[in-house]
Amino acid sequence: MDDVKNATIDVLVRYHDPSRQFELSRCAMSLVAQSWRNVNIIICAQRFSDQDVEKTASLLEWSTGLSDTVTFEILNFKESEPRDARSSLLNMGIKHTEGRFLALLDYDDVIYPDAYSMLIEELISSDSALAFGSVYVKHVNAGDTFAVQRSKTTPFRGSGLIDLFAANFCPIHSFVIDRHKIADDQLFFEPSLTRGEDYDLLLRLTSMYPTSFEKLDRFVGDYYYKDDGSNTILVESTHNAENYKCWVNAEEFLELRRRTLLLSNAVKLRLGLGHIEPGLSIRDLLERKSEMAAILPKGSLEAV
Amino acid sequence: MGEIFRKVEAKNPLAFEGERFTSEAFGQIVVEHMHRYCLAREYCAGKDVLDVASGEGYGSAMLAQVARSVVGVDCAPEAVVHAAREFGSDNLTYLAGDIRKLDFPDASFDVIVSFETLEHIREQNEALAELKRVLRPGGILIISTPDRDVYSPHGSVPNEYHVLELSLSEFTSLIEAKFAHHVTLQQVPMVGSVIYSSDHDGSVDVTTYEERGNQHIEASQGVSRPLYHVAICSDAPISSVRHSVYVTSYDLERYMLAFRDLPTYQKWAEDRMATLVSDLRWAKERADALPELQAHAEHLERVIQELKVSLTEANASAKASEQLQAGVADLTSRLSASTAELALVKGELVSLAEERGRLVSELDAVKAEGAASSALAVRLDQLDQDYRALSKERHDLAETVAEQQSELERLAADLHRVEDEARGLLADLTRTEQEAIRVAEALTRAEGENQRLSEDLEKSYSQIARLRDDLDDAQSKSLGYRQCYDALLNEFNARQASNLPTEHVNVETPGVDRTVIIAALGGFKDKSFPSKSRDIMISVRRLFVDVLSAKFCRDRQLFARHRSIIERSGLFDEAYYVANNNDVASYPGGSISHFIKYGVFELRNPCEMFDLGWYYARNSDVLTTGANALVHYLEHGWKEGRSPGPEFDVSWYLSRYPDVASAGVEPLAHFVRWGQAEGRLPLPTPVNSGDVPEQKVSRTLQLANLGLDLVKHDIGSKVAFGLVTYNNSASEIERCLKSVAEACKRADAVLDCEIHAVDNGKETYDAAYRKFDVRMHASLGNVGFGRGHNALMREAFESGADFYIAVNPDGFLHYGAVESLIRMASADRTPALIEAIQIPEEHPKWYDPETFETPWASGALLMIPRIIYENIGGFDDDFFMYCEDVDLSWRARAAGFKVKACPSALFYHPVMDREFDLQIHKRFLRSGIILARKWGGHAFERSLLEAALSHGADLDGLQAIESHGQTGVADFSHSFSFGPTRW
Repeated sequence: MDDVKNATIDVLVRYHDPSRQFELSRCAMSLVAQSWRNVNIIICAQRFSDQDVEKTASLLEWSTGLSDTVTFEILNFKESEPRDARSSLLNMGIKHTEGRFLALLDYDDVIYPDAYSMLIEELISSDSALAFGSVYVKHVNAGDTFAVQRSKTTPFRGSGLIDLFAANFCPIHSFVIDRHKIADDQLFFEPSLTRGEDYDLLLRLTSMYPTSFEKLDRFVGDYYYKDDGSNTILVESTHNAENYKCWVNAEEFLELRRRTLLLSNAVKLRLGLGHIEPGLSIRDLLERKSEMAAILPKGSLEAV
Repeated sequence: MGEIFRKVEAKNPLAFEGERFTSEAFGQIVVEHMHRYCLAREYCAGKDVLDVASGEGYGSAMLAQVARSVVGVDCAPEAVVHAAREFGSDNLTYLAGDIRKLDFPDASFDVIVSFETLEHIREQNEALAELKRVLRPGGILIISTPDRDVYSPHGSVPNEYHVLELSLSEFTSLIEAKFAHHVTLQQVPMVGSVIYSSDHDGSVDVTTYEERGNQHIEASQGVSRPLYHVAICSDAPISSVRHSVYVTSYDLERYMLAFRDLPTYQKWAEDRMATLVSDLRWAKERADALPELQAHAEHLERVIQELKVSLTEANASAKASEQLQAGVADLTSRLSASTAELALVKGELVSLAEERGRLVSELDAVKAEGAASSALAVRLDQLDQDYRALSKERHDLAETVAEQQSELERLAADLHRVEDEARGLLADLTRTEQEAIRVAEALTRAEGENQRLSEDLEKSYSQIARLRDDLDDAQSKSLGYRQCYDALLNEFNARQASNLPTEHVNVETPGVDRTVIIAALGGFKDKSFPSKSRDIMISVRRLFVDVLSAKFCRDRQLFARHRSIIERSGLFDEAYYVANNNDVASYPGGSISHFIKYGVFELRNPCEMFDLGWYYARNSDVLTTGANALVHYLEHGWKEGRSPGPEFDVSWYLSRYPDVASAGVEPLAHFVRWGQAEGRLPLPTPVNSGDVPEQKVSRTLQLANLGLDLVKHDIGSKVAFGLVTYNNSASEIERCLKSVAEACKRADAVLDCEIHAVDNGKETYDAAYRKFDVRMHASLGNVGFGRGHNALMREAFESGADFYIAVNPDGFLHYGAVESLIRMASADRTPALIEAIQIPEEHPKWYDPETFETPWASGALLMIPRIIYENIGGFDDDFFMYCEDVDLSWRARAAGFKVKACPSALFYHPVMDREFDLQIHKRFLRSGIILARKWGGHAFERSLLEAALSHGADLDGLQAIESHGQTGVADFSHSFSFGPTRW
């Protein structure tokens, strides 16, 4: 367990707009205050100038200077394609890091002080590859250097794996991954997706590896929803029909995943399905869950 | 009255596939075919008849009613077989054959009938020749074909079954080439009216075929039963008036459908009534059985009482058995002790015997030596006496052992007896327990059954009463629907008669009680509405709805269009629909089909956020045209700003999220698919927001009030920080001090900065304090938060500070926090207490999003300007901890100063998820009481006093608290929030 306690958690922070330093600094404050000791912040920047990289480094030096155990690195994605590099940014971060645990954040979100400690403890005690907590949504009236919070809601509603298979209720900062449990070639974000890339990752990993939703009753962070719409837009000028097309394409792609991803035996065992139903896809499970629940021991399909 | 004859229909009709007429077909085509056969029937009495292209065979059967013989011929063998099975009789046979080569001798028939056949073949001349060949001389051919010019006008979709259609002249030429005489008649299928000129006796030279019920046709000479008489009058001679026909072929099929389905619904309603009667009978039977069950339950109760007595006796026996076992154990223990003692005595006896032997030997030796010694003799006597005594003792012990063995045997016998008895009792006890369990289970079952029956009975009674009410209600509503239906029909007829559009029949016809329709629509939505009653209403309502919306059910094009629109929309949640409507799973057409045909009119919502009843209620134009609300919303509604339900505001969503508006997508589907997961809101105010509604904010005002437009020389200030520590960790203190130093270093507005600290606890943090040049004050002991700060504040202001910033040492500052606080202070001429925003969890109390004014400021990171301190002083020493910041804020506001929250100044202060701590809670209550007493919150004080007393909080010294009375700034109506909240 001592090895685990000393393990590093790499936190990949997507950061695409160097003018939003206020929000990045808020995010960084929440990371340097983590009760988990060894936190390595990886800023995944999107096509920053050298000056912007320097400015970002200065900000991170300030925040990590408040802690003895938190470190940071800045990775700058410089390729011109893909235009919307949200997946590529994270893939770059994944390739670059080697810590046992991995977490993801957007620069404008906040993680609570015991979030990583709690989720890592859950990963170990439940022998899971991913552990999930819940997040609040905070609606803010946002400016470059301030944020007026207007409300706090909990719109992400789901209670476990079956719900996750049906629709994504787990934002990217609601979980921690144990990389010791996951094959390296499985840990990637689909580069062709500009919407739902995080959900795609979750569908692939959670259909293959055991997952814990035990900590859904605990809140691990905040998802800031800003009234300038900057949450969902990583590239300029997407207020058009193309944007809509991206959404539709993503939805079709994700449905294809549901139909083609088969549940591993480990996942089926955790669901209480044992080795029955060879070749059971996510979509099969969703369509037949009522029928299965009727023949399985009580509590199956609800356990995770 | 004319001749009434049977209308022939197949019991098992062939499938109608669009061309060959069968009994399954309905609408206009029925009228056309039936009329032609009725006409032909007039020529067939007593004749030998050939029906070419007889199809399903019903026409030949009509002719056979009067003919001597009829042969039906058709080129489709399956139709021939079917016709023979359905209609074959002594004078009616069916054969396979081809009109171009008939398998009959010449001159076989008096009459030949062939309807709608010629257009299916190219060899029309040959066919007519073949018909003439088998026709007897002077015989009659009755033949029909569609008029190409009318049936297939230019640009229309051709009938794929027709290979050569004819115009009137072509048809006439064809006939004239084969027959010497002919009369050509024209047929117009229609809904309409005939006005004819009759002779004085009312006769007219025309035959009328009129359907008489579902199964008969009446053939009358003249026009039967004219409904109206029309007179054209004049004193001058009137020229002859021509017969006239008013024709409308529009939606003939719709009428036919509506009327055709009525018996079905009638039958359905009768079935429902039969079910209800059966339910009623069942309920009565259950009620009758109840007394018997109650008697059985009472019997079981008695059995249980008896068993309980047995159980008590068995328990007493068990106790006696336990006592006996204890006695046996005691005796066994005593026996063991005696036996051990006996063994000991025996051992002693053996050693004495050995000693005696040795002494006797010794004596003998002495005797043998002959030197008797008096001393030895004395010793010998002594030894003899010892031996005798020991022998006696041995004898006594042997007797004792014998007695104890005897006692032991007796006790062992007793023990065996008691054990046997105990075993018997245990067996009894076990049996009794098992019996008791069995009886208890039976009783539980009986009680359950009794309870269930009672509930059933009660339900049945209430159901009976409700059903009676519902029946009455439904019957009265049924009349209402009938009225609606009749009114609709009337309006429809009237509109057709006036050539008005009839696509949307207005329900709001004068005389129709619209509330009945609304009630019908709304009634199904009401969950308290009894389900059976609802079923009845649904059935009655369908009579109405199906007429209104027959096009949705039968018009395939319209249905397909609706289906396509709904499928593409993403607003039909099939799982939701099936889960909320038990009957849909078994509907063969699928859930969307069910929704289009029935669900929408029964207000069964297509998804969670689309409320059909709500939509209809707010859009009467949609309701009165009978349009599908979902389709209306998708095609028109959202573009017109109409919302789909109370939980989604279309206009607001599109204005709030311009990317959605410019993408041109329907907003609810966007929200369901993506918006929700992205944290977008469906309504202006979040569902769980606090009691302050959202307001629009001006960015310009925000920036001005934050002081972001001020230049450095306007705002330079001397700032002092104060830390009151209490057993904080060194690392925490160092992190806090680091952040203070960094924030000052990066603040252009700070001309000079000093840090003061006082320790209310045990630790000192000399190393950290030296590192950051902290002015350490002598500790006053654990005097509380406010008193500690007051000491630091006093010295800070005496040293010339413009602002004092109280900092909680367990948090740390954002690098821009100090600059932001000073800028905000400098932006307003009215001095203000200004708090930083705490993250990750800020207090939900309200602050104005433009002016940032707030009812009170937290002391976690609070900036106090010198002028406020000089006017109102520091914290009130009466507060040990908690609420002192609220008190200071209210005092500042009461003195005319402002209190603000600064959203650009962040202070990391993790106060979330703290476990309940009784000591802290008691302090909290005490502080709340002090605040309430000071500021006249009497009710709040009373409620806290109760809680404080129940928790044993320290309430000493509260009597001395001085009251300010009501000042207008205090707010106790939001409990410990002390002001309105944002969530």
